[in-house]
Amino acid sequence: MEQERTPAGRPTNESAGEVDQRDDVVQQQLDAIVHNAAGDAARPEPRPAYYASRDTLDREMREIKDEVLRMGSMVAAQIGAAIDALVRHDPEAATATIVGDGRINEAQRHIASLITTTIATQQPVARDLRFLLSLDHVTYELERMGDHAGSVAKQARKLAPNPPLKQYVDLPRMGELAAEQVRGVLRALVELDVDTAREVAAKDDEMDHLYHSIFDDVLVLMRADPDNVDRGARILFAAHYLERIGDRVTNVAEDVVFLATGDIEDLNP
Amino acid sequence: MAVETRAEGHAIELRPVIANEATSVPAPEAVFRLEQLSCWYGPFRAVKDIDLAVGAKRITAIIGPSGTGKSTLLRALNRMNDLIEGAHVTGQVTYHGVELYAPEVDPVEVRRRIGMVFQKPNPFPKTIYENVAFGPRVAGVRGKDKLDEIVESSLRRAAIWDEVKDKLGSLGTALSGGQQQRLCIARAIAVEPDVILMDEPCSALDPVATLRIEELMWELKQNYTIIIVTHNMQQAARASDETVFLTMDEDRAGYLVEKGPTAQLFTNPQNRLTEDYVSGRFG
Amino acid sequence: MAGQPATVRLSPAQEAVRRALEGNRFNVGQLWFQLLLLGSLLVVFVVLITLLLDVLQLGLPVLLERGVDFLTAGTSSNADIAGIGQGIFGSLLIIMFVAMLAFPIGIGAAIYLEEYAYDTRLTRFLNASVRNLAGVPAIVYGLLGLAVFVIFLGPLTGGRSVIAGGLTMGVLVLPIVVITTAESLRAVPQSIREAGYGVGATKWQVIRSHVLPYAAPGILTGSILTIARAIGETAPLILAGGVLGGFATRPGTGAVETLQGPYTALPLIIFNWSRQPSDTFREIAAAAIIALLVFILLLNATAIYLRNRFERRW
Repeated sequence: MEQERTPAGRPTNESAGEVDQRDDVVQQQLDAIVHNAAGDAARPEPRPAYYASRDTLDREMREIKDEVLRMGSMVAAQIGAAIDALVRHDPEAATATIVGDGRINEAQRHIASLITTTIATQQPVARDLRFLLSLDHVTYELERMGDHAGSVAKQARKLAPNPPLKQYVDLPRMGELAAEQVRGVLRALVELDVDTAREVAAKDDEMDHLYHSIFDDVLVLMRADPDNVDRGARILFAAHYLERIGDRVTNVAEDVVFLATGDIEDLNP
Repeated sequence: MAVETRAEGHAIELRPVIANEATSVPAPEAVFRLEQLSCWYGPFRAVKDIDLAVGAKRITAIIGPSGTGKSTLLRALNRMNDLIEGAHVTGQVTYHGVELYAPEVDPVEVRRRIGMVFQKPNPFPKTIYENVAFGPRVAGVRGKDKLDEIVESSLRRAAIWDEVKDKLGSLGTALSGGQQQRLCIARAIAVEPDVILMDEPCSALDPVATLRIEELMWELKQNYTIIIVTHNMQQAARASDETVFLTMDEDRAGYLVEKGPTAQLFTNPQNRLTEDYVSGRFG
Repeated sequence: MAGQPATVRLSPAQEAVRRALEGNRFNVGQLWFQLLLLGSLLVVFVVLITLLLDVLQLGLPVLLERGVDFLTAGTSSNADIAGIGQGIFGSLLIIMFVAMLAFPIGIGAAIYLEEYAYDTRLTRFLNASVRNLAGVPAIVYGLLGLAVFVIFLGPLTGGRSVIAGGLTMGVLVLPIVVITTAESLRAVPQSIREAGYGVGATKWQVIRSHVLPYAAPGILTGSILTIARAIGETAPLILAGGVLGGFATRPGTGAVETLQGPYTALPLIIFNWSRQPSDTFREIAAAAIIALLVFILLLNATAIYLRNRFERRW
């Protein structure tokens, strides 16, 4: 069998362990960005002369930010793995992905607990408080994104025993885009870059476009032959979950804007 | 993310209000108007060029690092600085439209209308009754019945009547710190002032006493305009409607950095200095 | 493990801590120092005892023998019947003059200096001058009294009279009264004043209602001690004319005449008697000294008692 390329560009016969290694590489890249950023977690801009830092608070906020980024890259990996399993009709890969969602949920609980503790013990206000509240929301969204990826994997497992309904073109593209979006919005979060956040949110249109395209194609196929309905429905569900992931990425982008400016903008009208 | 303010009791607009002008309070309501006020001790300028309007029947907190002239500014409002040799002001302070430092204004009358509570509770070394009755007496009130009534009502409004009603004849200095401070508040109220100035009233008290006094301030707000100087950021955040942030310039004179609704100053301040100070990152 | 003994075995680390805490309790240098200080105290004590014993030994028999008669009898050239009655009378009159003159003026001046005066060079000069005056030897005041009260104001005071003597003593203690009152006023915490001003009191209301009552114990104590001092001063009275005199106590003498006439006081009597060659006079001089000491002791005790009583109130 010719080596198919997954949407994430990896060889298809990689084991789960090798997938983790890739996660780590991405994580290291994100770590580098975080630690190279000037100033503390919530203030990337340079410090004025009178500055007296709050070491404990800064350390805790940096730790929380790191954990969020780690969680984010886990989510991006999960999305890739789920779509990969679906496109290749690989039931073991699908199961591995479903199980992998547990780690994401665990991460969310851990981060939520860290945030609560920091707020209670450090009494942050203004930007620091907005930072922590935003990250709390971001982890919530990431956890839901993880669930959606798991749901895609469930559909993959159901589809696996049967032959593919059609050649998967748009679906892998959607998955690739979703993972890209997640990584992009996390970069915006790290650098508190409002422009990147807005760009990412704008790209959600492409997601919607792909979704509609899949919807139309599958509907035609389902109308043509009742035998196609089972597989068609599952493909529609998978596409729907990916589209939801895109919406959640937009929510995270709005958090980034709030954090950076204090304004609440609706980026996805 | 809606942020509630205690004062209004309903969610403020989601888009925060930008309040960085001195006249954020509509004109008819302002009790004090400060125009380019500078306070001097001899040749040394402690506070410079303050433009500020203080609204009626609300609690305004003045915060800032040590030595920035917050107390000086407060004491300029009831001419307590007159007691210090060499102290004088330039610029203008108007109180209900009247210029406070005009030569024909009597500082004694000013202090009757603008009362003060000090940092360390300082009840007179006399009975509780005498403590509260002294002010009305010097204001000319005669007659035991009238004085009794004033003493009781002041002690009630200061939320300390129940604790002392049976020992009005005992020494004011024998009370606990928190009680003494409430006694001082009663003493200030007894002359029916319009404004109560509080100079770090809770800094010598334990946390429980502090919270009680903050609760008292919310009640008093209905009838008095309150201006409080505080070092305690959480107190300013908890217990005020508006906050004014002062800091020191290179010439060691305090100046006004930002003023606005407390909720906004503590969630989304406009000035970088303010942000760093309320976040505890200011030296 | 039941029944652990009271002494517990300490670990080496704990042992080191214990040794550090116990330190070197027996410090020889400290002991020597303590002995030295004790020695100084003993010297003072010995001097005091010697003085007292000397006086008591001479004078106590006289007092015991003659009792109240000694206290009331007038002066006489006969040592066996001479008494200190006139001296007590004179001293009391002098106290009266001191109180009338020095207290109101001294306290008033102190209030002005502390509460009203601005901190100018003049004020500081006045303060320094008052302090210097307090240190001026009493005999200089005597000369002042002689020049002003005896000679210059002779027609008013009657020359060498108890009026002149009293006024002289008043002037002598005046600086002391100003200083002790000023100290008491300075001890009033500024927070009390601020509290008073804060409720809209005028300066005088604050002083009258809060500052003076707070400073009163100190002022009172100072006053009483001033009186004790005034009783004992002899040199000024010598110059202002009370040496040889006794009061004119002929029946029919009016008060003013008595006041304007010759006089004496307790310390003067002691001075006189101790100059006489006769042993008997020295005995009664000692007795008079005892009386004077008792008088001063009573005054000091009153001062302490009153101060304690007022201080408890605050």
